[in-house]
Amino acid sequence: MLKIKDLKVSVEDTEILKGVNLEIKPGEVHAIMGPNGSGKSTLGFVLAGKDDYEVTSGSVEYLGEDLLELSPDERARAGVFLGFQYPVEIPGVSNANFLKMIINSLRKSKGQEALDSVAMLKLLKEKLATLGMDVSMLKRSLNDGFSGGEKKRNEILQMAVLEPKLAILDETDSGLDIDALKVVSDGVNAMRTADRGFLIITHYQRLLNYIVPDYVHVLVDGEIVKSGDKSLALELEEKGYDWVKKTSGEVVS
Amino acid sequence: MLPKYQVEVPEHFRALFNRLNDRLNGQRDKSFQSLQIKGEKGLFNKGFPTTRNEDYKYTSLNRVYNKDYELPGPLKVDAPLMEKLRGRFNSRLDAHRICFHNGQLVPELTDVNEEGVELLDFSALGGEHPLESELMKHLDQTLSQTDNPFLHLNAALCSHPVVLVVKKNHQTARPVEVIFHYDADGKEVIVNPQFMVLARENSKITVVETQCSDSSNEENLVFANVFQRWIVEKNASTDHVKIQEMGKSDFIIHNLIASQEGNSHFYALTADLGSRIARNNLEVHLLESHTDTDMFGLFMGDGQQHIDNQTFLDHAIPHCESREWYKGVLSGRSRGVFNGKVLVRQDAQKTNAFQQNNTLLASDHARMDSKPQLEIYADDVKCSHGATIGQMEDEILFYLKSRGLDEADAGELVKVAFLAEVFNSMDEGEIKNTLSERVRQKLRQIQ
Repeated sequence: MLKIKDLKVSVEDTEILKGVNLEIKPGEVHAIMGPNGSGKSTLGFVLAGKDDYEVTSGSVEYLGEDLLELSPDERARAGVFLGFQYPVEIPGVSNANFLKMIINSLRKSKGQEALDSVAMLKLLKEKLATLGMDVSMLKRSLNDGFSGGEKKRNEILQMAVLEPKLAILDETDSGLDIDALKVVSDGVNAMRTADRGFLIITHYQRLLNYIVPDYVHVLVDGEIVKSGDKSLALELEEKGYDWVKKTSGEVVS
Repeated sequence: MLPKYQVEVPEHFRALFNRLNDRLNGQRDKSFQSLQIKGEKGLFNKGFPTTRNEDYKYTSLNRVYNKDYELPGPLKVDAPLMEKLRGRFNSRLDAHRICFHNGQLVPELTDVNEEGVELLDFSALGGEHPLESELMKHLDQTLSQTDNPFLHLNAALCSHPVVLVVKKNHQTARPVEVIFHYDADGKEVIVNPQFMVLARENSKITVVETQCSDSSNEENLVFANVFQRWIVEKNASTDHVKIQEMGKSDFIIHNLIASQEGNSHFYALTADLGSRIARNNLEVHLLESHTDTDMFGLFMGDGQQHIDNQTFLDHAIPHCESREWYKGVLSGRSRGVFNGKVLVRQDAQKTNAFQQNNTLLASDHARMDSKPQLEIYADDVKCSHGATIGQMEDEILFYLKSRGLDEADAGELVKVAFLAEVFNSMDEGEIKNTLSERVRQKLRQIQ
């Protein structure tokens, strides 16, 4: 569903991604690991369509379409979801209203009618229940004054209501205690289906104990230097990123 | 000699007074006439303010002074006008109705029917009514004490002052919706409506006011110079929501002076969405202790709009509380001005005063001048003030778009969220819904 070919990306004339190749098929969970500054978050932002990231070469094909041609909102409506490492806070917009807006905007793009408030509340309550989250979350302002864990759970809630085809989760584990980590992972695992792809961006192996990936890729200095199965993550945890840097070149497929 | 930084009132204004006199031809009662004379004298003695006057530094009114205005013609309410005026009322709001067209009360569309609430056409009292001398005293005093020449201009040219009285211990069952509608009818017209609210002891009333005109252009515009005097007696509580939706070439100077007696509450929400130039002069005088004052404002500009909010809150008495919060979104080449003065006099110990102004600039060419002023002469007080002027944050917009909201929806959401504190100051209900709807409508226009 996603084919990234030789993707090179610059920010303010500095090349961050230096030729990334990656293919994700429906139902697969891919993890991208790498040290700080390796370009992991850049990859997430480029796929979601953030400005200021200049694609200098390469291509990204999503469900047979040129993803790079779409605006961020078009990508979202086409089923691409980015869970932010640092979700923004918007005081003055209730979580419930925000969720209603994004659900109805998605429905509109599919030619479906807007949900009325009864149906909406029912849907939201269902989603909250599956994620083990409290209804009180709906009344609060969007991410305003949320703890790190609450913000991440809120990202998962948004993902759950949007039901994306491709979910990219950027450092979803950062700032989470073990309980929050479990809630977030359970939420992701509950959404693993045969037609949905995941790209999990993480610095630590810890998250991958909970969300077990099909493939693990190591991104160092803007390039994927090693790929493997879940055991690669464990090996990395043991030996550190320096180990891959030294042995880079032998890319496992 | 004119006071410093004022300019002579142009001669064509004098002609207006003469014309009004000819038209009225001695029909008005004596005390009312004395106010008119006082207004005229005061105006020519004071002159109009220039931008060298600190309170008008960011708002040039030359464009307003230089038009050769006409007075509106006599009121003729035909079927099309009735239709138009009726459409200005909020059909979903269960309220008493007061309708002004070009400053004159339209009896066909005015319906205040509640024991304990009285609507009086001041000019028709004929010196007989027991309230007349009391009201006259208030107006006379206000004119004597003010430096604001627009109050004098209003007094000199107002022909139909109207008073809304809420009787002692009466809590009004329904809000009062007041429409001030203007129509230049192909000319340049000056209108001077005068409206007083007298809330007697322990009474309660909510007034929702709309200032509006039909679409205007350079040769077809209204200059509305409104004067409102609110008298809030002991233990009384008044809520005032004003929505200004004048045409895009119109001028409006909205002058409101409120005075509060002990334990009273005055709430004002000023929402400016329309007009070419809008200037609000809102003054609240605290006369006794334990009063509560709320001044909230929304302003939204685009194109060439200029919206100036000038507020003055005089804490002369101890143990009073006030909150003031103005928020706005400016787009296009529009300009906004906030000049909020809170004076805490030496005797006003235990004052609690909060003041804030925040503006979101939604275009590179919009401009905001904000001057939150807090002058404190008492030492045992809790006061804060501040102002921010910011732009739409790309990070926030990207986040919203990444959830599937398009550019327009994302922008609207950010702006509505920005204005939240002002909406939060209102009770839930039809008035809040209406305002929110009109604000959203305006926001959709200006992006």
